Amino acid sequence: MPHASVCAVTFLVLCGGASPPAAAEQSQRAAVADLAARAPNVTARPQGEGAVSAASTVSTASTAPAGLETSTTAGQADPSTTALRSAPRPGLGPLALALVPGVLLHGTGLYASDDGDGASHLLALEGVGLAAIVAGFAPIVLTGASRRIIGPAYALTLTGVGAFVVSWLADLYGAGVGATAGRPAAAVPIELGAGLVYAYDPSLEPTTYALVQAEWQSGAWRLAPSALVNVDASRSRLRLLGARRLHSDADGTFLELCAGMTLERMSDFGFSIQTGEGSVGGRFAMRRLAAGLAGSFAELSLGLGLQSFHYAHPAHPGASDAAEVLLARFAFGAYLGERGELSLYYDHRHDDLAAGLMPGAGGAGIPGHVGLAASYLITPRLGVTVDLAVGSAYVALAALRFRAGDER
Amino acid sequence: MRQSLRRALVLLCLAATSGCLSNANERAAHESEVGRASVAGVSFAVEGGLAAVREIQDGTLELWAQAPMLRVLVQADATPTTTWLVRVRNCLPDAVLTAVGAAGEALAVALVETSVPSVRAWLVALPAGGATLDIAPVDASLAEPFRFGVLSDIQSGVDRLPDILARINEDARVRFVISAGDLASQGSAGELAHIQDQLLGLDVPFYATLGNHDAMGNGVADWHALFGRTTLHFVFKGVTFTLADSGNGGMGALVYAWLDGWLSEARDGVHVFVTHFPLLDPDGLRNASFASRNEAARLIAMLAEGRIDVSFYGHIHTFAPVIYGGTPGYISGGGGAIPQLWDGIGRHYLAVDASAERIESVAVVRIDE
Repeated sequence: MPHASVCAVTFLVLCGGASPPAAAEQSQRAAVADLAARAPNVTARPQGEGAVSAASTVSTASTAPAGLETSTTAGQADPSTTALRSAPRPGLGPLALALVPGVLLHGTGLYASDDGDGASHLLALEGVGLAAIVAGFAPIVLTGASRRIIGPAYALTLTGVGAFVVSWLADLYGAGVGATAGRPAAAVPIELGAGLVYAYDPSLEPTTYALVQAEWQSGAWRLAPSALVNVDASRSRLRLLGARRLHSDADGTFLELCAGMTLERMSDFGFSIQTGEGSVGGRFAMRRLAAGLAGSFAELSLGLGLQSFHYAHPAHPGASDAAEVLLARFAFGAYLGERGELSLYYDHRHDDLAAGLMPGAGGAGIPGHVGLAASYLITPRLGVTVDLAVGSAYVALAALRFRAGDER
Repeated sequence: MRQSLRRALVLLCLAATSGCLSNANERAAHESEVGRASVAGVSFAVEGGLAAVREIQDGTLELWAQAPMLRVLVQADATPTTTWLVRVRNCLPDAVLTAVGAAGEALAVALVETSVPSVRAWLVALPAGGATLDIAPVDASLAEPFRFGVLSDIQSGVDRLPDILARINEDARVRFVISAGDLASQGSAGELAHIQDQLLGLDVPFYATLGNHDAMGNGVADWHALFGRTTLHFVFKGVTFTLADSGNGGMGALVYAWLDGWLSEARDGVHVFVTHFPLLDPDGLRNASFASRNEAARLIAMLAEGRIDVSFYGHIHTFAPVIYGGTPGYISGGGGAIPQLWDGIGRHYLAVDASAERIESVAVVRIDE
């Protein structure tokens, strides 16, 4: 089974699987939460749950998602302010259609679950993705991967692949899980983390690292240092990432600029690498594309890194090499209530522990790695993070997170 | 949550074990089977696995050589002396066969005329017991300067290969050609056999490691059957040659173990290293190179520590000199595969002058000028 399919199924299982009644209920709850967020003075709930209280009378019909009935006074539905369209109904049937023919015709699953608008948006996203793939990849093939066009062409191709994959995963999510009330966990000023990272690399020998990391947030700024060190300290990876939010919304949508520096040392193999990088990227709340996708998100980032290689051998003292690295990452994920999130991702990096996939085909060397990342708050102060990645190495990360400061 | 994580781990492992990681180790593990065959109580083993057994039937042994010098160990049961036809394809045209019995006695050998310079054949009288066959040119061990060619990435250009081969044939100083792979487009047995048919037009042998396109076929079984090992190592005129399999964008642990020993052996001599993937792409954004930058750095450090003199790579369809860890290397993918545009190179091969003291020169020979 292709890895993307396995990962997609994994993702759905973790998100709750296909449970039609529960999913439909979740969908309605999410739509209610969505509406409440748009009209803060109105208390709303799905139909059939009895009276609601309202602090004031507000007309919300123009913003109500499909399938939602809102009340403007206690216990009474006002026809003039009520949307009566049927709610998206995720289930096994739509999920099956999202797989076949949905793998080719993205949005099929949402369409089968009565979300025609959402389906058309996913189909459009798929079309944009395919167009970008063709626009990016055709010049690569036609020019024999000429260095004159390769950077922009690969960036465009990977963006297209991201749009294509995300639109399919979103369809699977909307058809199999449906909308949830999940949203980003409240941010705190300081997070500290500690854990272990196991890297099984057939060419570099298995290694377990101790991980310590921190993240400090202040306004639009974010600073995240981290360190990996193995047991005998022969290998280490120190990393500092700084980011500036350019835009952010309460639903988790944001855009930010990132800059980073990584110092990697593998003295058991006689080399060290320094990497400087910059990227722009962000997260998009998929609810904006379709009501049935509430509680899910997509991510995309693009950037450039510069690496400097240094070797500790006497034959050529002081010898070093330099190389650029293309940074591109996309992901699709879902919030686990308000306490965590889960995402499938593709990361084009070839310079980290997982590095690039090694398929036995023509694409060897080019693709990056794929992974599954999850974080969850056990208490408001204590959480866990897990990240499993497959590239030229298997990498598993597990860490505890300690949160300090007031939630925002 | 715990259950979900368990599910994720199991499923991710299933995904991974279905083939994401390198299968270079799998290929390497099968290398020991190359060059061995037996029939009717007579068994043959090519030392170092440096030839593929292309045919074995009662009285006939055909090999595809992957090195200028071969040693074949023969074990025969108690049957009386039999005469065998030993035919070696991809052989140096001036190679001779010498044969000795288990007691060190010289065995009778007769040369058989062939119409193709790179195909040599002999009749050998093999007694009961054991015998050792050595196939090599008489000057193989003389530390004299010599020239070899480098030609990689043929792929879709296979039908235009004859003019490249003809150009190489014009240079009588070229003793053999080495290749960093990607001979085929899809790695099928038919393609590989077609390449070998084309190589009959080359007057000298062609020793190749495997490229990623060659690895796309039948789990590399076809390569092993037709060409032999994907990782090989030999010495000619005092110069060590190592061709290492990086067909999946990296090398296997077993290949690293072999390489470690070969680097130690050749540390004080001239050592030529060949693999398909460049360790670092001169244009890093493309990453037509090792899939892991860390592995690339590990190998660069290892090769520098082992004091190799020069390295050759394919995969990128252009010519580009590189320096990795202070050691010179050359990317040369000019065998006819879709060319990289706007580089002014086109189809080409490299002519390398070497001696036991140093690599004298590396010249680009352009075909379409």
